[in-house]
Amino acid sequence: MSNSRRLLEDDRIRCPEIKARPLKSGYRSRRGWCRPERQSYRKVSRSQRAWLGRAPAPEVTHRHAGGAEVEMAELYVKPGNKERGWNDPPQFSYGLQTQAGGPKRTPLTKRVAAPQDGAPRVPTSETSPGPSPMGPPPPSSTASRPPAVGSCPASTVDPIDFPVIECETLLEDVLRPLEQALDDCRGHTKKQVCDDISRRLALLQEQWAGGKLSTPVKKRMALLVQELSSHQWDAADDIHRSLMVDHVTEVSQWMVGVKRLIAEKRSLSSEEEANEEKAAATSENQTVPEQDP
Amino acid sequence: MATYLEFIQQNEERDGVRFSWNVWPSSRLEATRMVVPLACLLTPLKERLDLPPVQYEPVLCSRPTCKAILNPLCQVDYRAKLWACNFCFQRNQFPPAYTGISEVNQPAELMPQFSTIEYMIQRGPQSPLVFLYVVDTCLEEEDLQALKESLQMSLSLLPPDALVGLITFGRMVQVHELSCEGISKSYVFRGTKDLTAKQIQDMLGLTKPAMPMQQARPAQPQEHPFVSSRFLQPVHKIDMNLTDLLGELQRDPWPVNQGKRPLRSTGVALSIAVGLLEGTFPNTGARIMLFTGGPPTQGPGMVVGDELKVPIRSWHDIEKDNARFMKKATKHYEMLANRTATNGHCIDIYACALDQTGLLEMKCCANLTGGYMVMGDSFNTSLFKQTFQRIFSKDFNGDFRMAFGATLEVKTSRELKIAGAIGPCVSLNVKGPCVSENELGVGGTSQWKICALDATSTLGIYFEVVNQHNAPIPQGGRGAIQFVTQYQHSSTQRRIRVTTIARNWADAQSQFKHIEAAFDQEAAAVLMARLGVFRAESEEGPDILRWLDRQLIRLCQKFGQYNKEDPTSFRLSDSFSLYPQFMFHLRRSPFLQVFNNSPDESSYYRHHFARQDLTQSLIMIQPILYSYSFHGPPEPVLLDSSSILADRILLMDTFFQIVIYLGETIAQWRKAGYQDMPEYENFKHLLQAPVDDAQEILQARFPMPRYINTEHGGSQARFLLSKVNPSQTHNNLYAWGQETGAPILTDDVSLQVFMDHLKKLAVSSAS
Repeated sequence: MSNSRRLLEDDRIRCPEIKARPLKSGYRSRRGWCRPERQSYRKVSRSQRAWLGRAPAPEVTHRHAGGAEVEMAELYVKPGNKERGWNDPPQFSYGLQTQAGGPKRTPLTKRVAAPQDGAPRVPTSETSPGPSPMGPPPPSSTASRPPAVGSCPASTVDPIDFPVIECETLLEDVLRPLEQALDDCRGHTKKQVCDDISRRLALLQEQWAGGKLSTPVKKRMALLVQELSSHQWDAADDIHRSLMVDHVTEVSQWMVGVKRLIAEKRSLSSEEEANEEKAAATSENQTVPEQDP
Repeated sequence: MATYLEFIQQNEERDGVRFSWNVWPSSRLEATRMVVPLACLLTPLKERLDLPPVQYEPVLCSRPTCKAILNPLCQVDYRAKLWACNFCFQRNQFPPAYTGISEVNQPAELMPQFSTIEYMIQRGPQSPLVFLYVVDTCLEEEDLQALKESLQMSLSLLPPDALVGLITFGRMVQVHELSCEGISKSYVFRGTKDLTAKQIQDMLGLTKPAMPMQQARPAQPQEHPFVSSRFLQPVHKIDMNLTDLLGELQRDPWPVNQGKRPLRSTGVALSIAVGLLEGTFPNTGARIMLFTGGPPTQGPGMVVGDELKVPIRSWHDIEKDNARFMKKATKHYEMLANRTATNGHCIDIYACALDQTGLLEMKCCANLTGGYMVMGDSFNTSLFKQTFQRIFSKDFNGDFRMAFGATLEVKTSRELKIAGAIGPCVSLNVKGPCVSENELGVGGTSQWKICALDATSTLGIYFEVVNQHNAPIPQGGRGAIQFVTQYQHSSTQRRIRVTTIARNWADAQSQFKHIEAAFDQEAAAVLMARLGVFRAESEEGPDILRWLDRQLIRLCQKFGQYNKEDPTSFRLSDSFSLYPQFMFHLRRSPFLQVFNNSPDESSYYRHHFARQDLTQSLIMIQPILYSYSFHGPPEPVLLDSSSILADRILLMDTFFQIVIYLGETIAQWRKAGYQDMPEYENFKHLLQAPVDDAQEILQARFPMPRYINTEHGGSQARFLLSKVNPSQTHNNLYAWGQETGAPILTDDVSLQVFMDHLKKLAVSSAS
């Protein structure tokens, strides 16, 4: 029994090796094979479905001015783990799961009533004579349906390969602002917490320098730092969550430090603001009596 | 007809209520003759985009036995500032805050569009939510690693001020002390000995040290009871240490000999978790989240021994009374579940293993407390990971969808009594004048406790018409029901949601057509199915099928149009036309048939059936089938073997599985690679359409279903073939000709044969 189990385990270890063709974005983590993240797997586009004639949702472009890259990085579906789970469903990225609904189509919940005698209707001849079994499918050009096919340009249908922007995110650009933020917090935050955060930033540095972080993680970290620098706490926190959900294997060890840093920086700045207000209030009070006499 | 459908839909959207009957038979006798009981499916916290809570407390009827809440159905005397309760007719003075009330200046709760309203209660201490992770370490390395990562990830999703704790178990049970100091300590318990709550609290030092603290500072008695707990700490304080602690978790170090199962002390671990929360946070929202990768193999609650050569119990063993540990284990978990429910906490079970894990014995833990039950193959699957993530999903307001510690109270007008409820709840044993002696489901009470719920949690609530036949209700009379749900919102506020509904009474003789037209067959099917599944927990399968059949025949006798002894003349009106096929599919469903399912699987399916809303429940009873082809837009088709055609793609949703099936020709085309040729781009679109639709379902469904992509002749086509009505089988194939679908190799009865029998029995004067 246990022998056969061992065999199975061996299989599992071997299988990925066979698959390990040189894939550009594939990598091996310390635990073994990690699937390359196929961001181009499929861009979910509602316009594709317009031809289906059901609730043609207006094309919603999710590219707001600032968040364009974030959106691009976060909307993807990757296949489930078929080796470990029987018929494992695909995995949706954090961005897709939290996407604020958008116009939902009518859910597929319609039923057809069986005729009261329970006998199935014999398919009517106009629907069933389809093409002969071995003939080709109706070519696009001659088919009267689907009519909307022309209206949805091929480019939106093809999986969008995000242009690999050759902007190497530099470790320095990410790490320095984080360390700066940490320095700001010293004095405000307990030393032990600061040391702990610092330890995790070192871990981040080490993994980054050692080439253990994938491009999407690096890019999203750069965005996170941007948001942090511009005091967009919620946005930074959301990027941290998306990284934890989508790339937990890579980031779990040090991301919690970044998370804490965001929280500490946030409370620090709200305290400062309060102080400033207080200071402003007191200075106003001081000026008032001066004018009075 | 359309108007009743609209009415039903509107009511569901506004109040989260679906009644089996929307016009009520006005006497007890007539109501029993309607066969399907007067009942409703209630989704207490149905998500409402347009319902901001009001910031004041509800106004109650002053009669101590009534205490109904002021609602749009109450008669109001604006000049005298009085209102009459619509349940007990007590006349009440408005409270002082309502002095400005007039016809043109009404509070929200009197406006008809606020038949459902939510109040926010300011008083009372607000205590944080508690999440206690109970983690099995007898896992394979890969699984443990994936689970650890999921748990680390969850720290980012939890509310920052929630309290979190960690218990791990294998042969021993470890309760981890969480401190920010960087030294990890844990209390180790033996997994073979059950401990009482008192013992657990003593051993963890929860009772003794807390006492002098309280005596020393009597000024703050119960203000911060959680400060003293070293085992439950706020996420924002402990997240870094807990991340490390989780990262360092190792597989259970005890050696497992060949031919043995690892010793797993699930029973004691759960008992300690329940005892820990019982002592520290009674009656506040708390989740015990059990992650297990196999059956309990020692101590109280063990389900199977550690000898691998003895397999875990099957249905066959249970029927032959050969399941050695089942009764004792079930008793242990029932005791824990009841204690947990009394404390107002809930237990989630995340069981990921290829073999059974003892869900049959442990099911009550989730069923009685409103916890989730998730069953997967491995923690390293997207099925588990995403289902787990979705526990922490948020609504459009950015609030967590989960709610805690709810009590549901039902009030009825005099002609009605409450027979019981079926759903993720326990009885609070509150007797009263509106409680019926005839129980359906969990009865004998007008109040239930739902320890954990979300926006889809749905209860079936059953009523009895008690008005006597010789005391007719005046023309135009209406019956009313009020549902009052008090709960702890995820933001830790107390809230009260009140729904008050009314329906017309009708005389069953003179207004039979009205009653018939107002029948909600979908709600009725789900409500009858819940009754059946509830009984299936304690009775033999065949008895329940017979009971369902008898009810269906009686319903057809009552509402069918036919000439006596002439089956061909039998007709059902539109409002009943789908009901027989719902019953047909229900009979074949895994909720009533255990064949081909393990006891754990049956428990899992029934768990979800008893808590989902109407739409999802109906999908479980009769799966949805859509067809995609070049002949037109996708369309729903009959769940029938005749729908399986060569040039179609089918998408089937059974709730637990999403199946995409390519017909024979389509599969050949795909094999030939037409989808890659630019001139056949429409074929590519055709292949993509069901995939897109499936993804839309997958994105919304909880728990994550399995996803099956198959084609004609594929081995997994069995998922489709086992669900469709076998109208063509190997027996009658030639009668139907060759081209009309796919014959199913089965001896099961088809819908047609079922209907033939039903008609025969319905029109016969003998039955």
